Formats: sequence, structure tokens, C-alpha cells
Amino acid sequence: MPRLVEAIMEAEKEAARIIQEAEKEAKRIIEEAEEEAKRIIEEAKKTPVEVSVMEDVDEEVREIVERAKAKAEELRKVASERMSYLVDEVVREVLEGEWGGSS
Amino acid sequence: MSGEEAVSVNRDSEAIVRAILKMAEDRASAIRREAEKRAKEIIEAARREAEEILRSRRERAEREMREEIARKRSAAEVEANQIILTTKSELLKEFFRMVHERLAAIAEGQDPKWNYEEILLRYSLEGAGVLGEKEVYLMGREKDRSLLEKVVRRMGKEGVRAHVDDRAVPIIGGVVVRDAGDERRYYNTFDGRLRAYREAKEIDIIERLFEGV
Repeated sequence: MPRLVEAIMEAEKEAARIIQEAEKEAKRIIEEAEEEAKRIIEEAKKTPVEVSVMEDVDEEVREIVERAKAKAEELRKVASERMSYLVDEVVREVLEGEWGGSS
Repeated sequence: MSGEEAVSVNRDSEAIVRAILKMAEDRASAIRREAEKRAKEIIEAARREAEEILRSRRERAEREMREEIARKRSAAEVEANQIILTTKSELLKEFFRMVHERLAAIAEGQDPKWNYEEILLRYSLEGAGVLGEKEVYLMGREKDRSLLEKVVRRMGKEGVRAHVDDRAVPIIGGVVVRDAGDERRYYNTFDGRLRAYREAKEIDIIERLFEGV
């Protein structure tokens, strides 16, 4: 009988060692996973993000300003043509209209 | 203990030992499986968080780029409006400079379409009428003195006693009519008429100059 008890005690020691090893391995597995999780999150924070907004705003800005300059030129041309007869009309209105005479 | 009994004890102890070890290995396997399952959950959660971080960063970058585009577009529109407004302002200034120049030419008698003496007579009679005076003084440019003397004579024929004031006024043309005591004045100068006209009609002139462009 003492040999049976001794064998059981040895077996229990071995069983405890097996479980302790498994627990150590489990701890290592989880720690590795946590490290990997940190790495994944850090990488997501650092990875350059690509933006899918494709508008060429610089070209559009140039066009807006160029259109305004072209319109300004057109204004100069049209106004210059109209000025000569408008000056005559306005001079007449200024001299003959109801604009003067403040007392 | 007989030989048979010894063999039986040995068999029992081996069975017990195997059972103990089997239980331990089963337990160890369960611990490993649980750890692997937990590790997988941790990695999956991290991947989900990483995707959320990337999505959020991408959205922010797109929003910032859209805002930058809107800012640039808005600045360009402001610049464009400024170009148009400056051009209109310059042209309007040029237009009224031309009107001013033409009025000055009329006052110098250089415009055959206009008789400056007639204008002075009309403005002077109008002034006398508004003041309601039978005796008035006319103030004008120093160089208009002789013309004003003629106007005075013509006003006399119209029943208004007029004089040329000794003082001259710095104007483009026209006349200031005052009563004898210089208590009331009636300003009928080109300068005043042009100023009043511009105040009242500038928007109309802008439309006439730039309509349709």
C-alpha cells in the first residue's frame, strides 16, 4: 500500500507541474496577444491615410480668378464704348436737371 | 501479500496514476484552449479598434481637405469679386472724371453745344426766384466776373436788381446767389449739381455703364 500512495503522490506532483506549465503557456499566449494588439493599434495610428477627395482646387481657383479678369476686361471694353455718349447725356442731366440749387 | 495480490495493486496504482495524469493533461489542454480563445478575441478587438481609428482618421483628413478646398474656393471668389468691384470703381471714377472735365470745358466756353453765359443767367434767375429777392448778389469764379456783369445787366431787364459780389468762389463753374445781407445763399454751381446728381443717380449710371456684361 505505501507504494500505491507514493505512486499517487508522484502522479499528483506531475499533474500539478503539467497544469502549472499550461498556465504559464496560457499567460504567455495572452501577453503575446496583448503585445500584438498594441502593435496593431499603434500601426493604425501611424499609417498614412489616403484621402479620396479628387478635386483639383488649385486649377479651379485659377479659373475663377481668370474668369474675373476676363470679365473685368469685358467691362472695360463695354464701359469705354458707352462712356462717350453717356458723358454727353449726364452732362446735360447735370446742367439741366433738378440737381442744383441748395440754399 | 501473495504474488497475485501484488500484481493487482500494481495494476490499480498504474490506473490511478494514468487517471490523475489524464485529468491533468485534459485540464492543461482546456487552459491552453481558453488562452488561445482569449488571445484571438484580444487580436480581433484590436483589429476592430484599428479599423475604427483608420476610418476616423480618414474621415477627419477628408473633412479637413474639404474645408481647405472650400476655403481656397471662397478666397478665390472673394478675389474675383474684388477684381470686378475694383474695375467697376475705377471705370466709374474715370467716367465722373470725364464728366467733370466736360463741365470744366463748358465753363471755359470750349464746348460749342453749350452757351455758358445762358447757363449762368438761368442759374442766377433761378436763385433769385428761390430766394424771393428783388436784389441779389452773384458770386462765381474770378474769371467769370465779366460774364457775370453781362448776366447782371440781363437780369435787370428781367426785373431783378443784381450785382457781382467782390468775392470769388473756387468752383468749376456756375453761380452762388445771395441776398443783400448775405443771410441766405442759393448754390447753383456745377460742383454742387454734379455732387447731387452723383448721389442720386450713381446706381443708375452703374447700370447704364455695365448693363449686360
